Amino acid sequence: MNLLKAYTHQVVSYHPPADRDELFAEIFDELCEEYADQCKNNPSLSEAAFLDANKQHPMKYATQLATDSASYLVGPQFYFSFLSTLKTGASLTAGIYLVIAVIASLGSANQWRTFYGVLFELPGTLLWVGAVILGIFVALEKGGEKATWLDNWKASDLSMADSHQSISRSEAFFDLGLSTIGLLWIFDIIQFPIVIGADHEWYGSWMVLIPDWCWIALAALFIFDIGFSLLRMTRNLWTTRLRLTTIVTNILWIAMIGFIALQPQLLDVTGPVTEAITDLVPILNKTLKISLVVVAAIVMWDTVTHIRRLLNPVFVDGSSAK
Amino acid sequence: MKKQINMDNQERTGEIADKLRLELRRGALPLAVLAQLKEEHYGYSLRKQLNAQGLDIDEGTLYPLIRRLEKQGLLNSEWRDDQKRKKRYYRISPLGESVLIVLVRRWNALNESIDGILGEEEK
Repeated sequence: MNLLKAYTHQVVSYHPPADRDELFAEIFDELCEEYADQCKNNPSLSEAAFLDANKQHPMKYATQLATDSASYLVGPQFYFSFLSTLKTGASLTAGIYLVIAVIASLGSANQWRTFYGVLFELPGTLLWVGAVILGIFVALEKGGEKATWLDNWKASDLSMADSHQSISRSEAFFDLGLSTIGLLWIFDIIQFPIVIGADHEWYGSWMVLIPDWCWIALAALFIFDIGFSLLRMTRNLWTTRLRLTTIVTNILWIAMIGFIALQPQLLDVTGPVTEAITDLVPILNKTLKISLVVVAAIVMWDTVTHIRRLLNPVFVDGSSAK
Repeated sequence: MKKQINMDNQERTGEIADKLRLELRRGALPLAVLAQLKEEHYGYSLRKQLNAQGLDIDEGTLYPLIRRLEKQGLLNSEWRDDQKRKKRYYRISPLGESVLIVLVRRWNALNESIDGILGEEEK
């Protein structure tokens, strides 16, 4: 039933997250019953042949199942194609802007100002991208165009990876929180009270000693992670693309954390210091480096888990691909 | 030339008749579904039952209709585990039964009127 399950997952993925579980159960049951009925007359009927003969493109099927047609900005026929294009367009634009921001700031004398400057233009561009996509779909609809690109569909197009394990919302939410805090910290919007005491004296003037490009790269990674966490919160299941993206991002994080941990000194104190605090700095640096290594190990573990799941998918009903 | 015009007319007649048939059917479907759900059914069994009685209905039409009727309080539903799968069983609600009685009365009255009109038309 894996192909039927993959098809149903694909269909419900176009519906709002709140409706997906119930819709999935109902539609999957419907497909299983219909398939079982047809197998009575044709025992050799494969799931793929059944889907090809009886079902349309998952997006078309999802459109038919949608009840609240009054809420469509673009008509039901194009609604899910429009949403899908909008999401892809927005993600691509944000990705391109992030890359441009990093590249431009690396070659600039005032790196932060350049980085901010490029990113501040993103919302405006996103609005334009949205307006252009909306315009195209409205024109298609008014021109009497039928969504014929959805007719050339085969069950074999279904990615079996779509029936992998469900995405943990709490994990995505945790990542979102962590990345947001990290980004706000880099931009100095929030500050951690790094007041450390030694010999009954308190020091609050600490400096993190990493190269400037590291800050830019960290900000870019945090921004990407925020977007990616938001995306995961809207998705039901892990797909190959989502897992690959997680693996690549994790590897970048491991490289980044590794590089930072290898710096000769991470923390230093500014201003006049006593002997006690001078003695404390190497201990603090060592502790910080060990913490970074632990974080890198956790990220590494997560990466290995994703690679294993990618190579040996576990389906939602607990069965394995092997 | 005349033959071509006749063919165009036939095509157009068929096309318009198809659209109007769908409209006719759309209005009658809630009545059929409510009447059928005097007995408990899950989605597929309801669809099969309607199909067996000559009312061919696909899931893309049935499920949105069921949702709408349930939202209006005309149906009750209950999830149950059956054959390792979750099934949602539907049944007409007390409000649905009252509405059905009214609808059947109106359907019969409409049928009589239409029959009368069609009878005159045929004469």
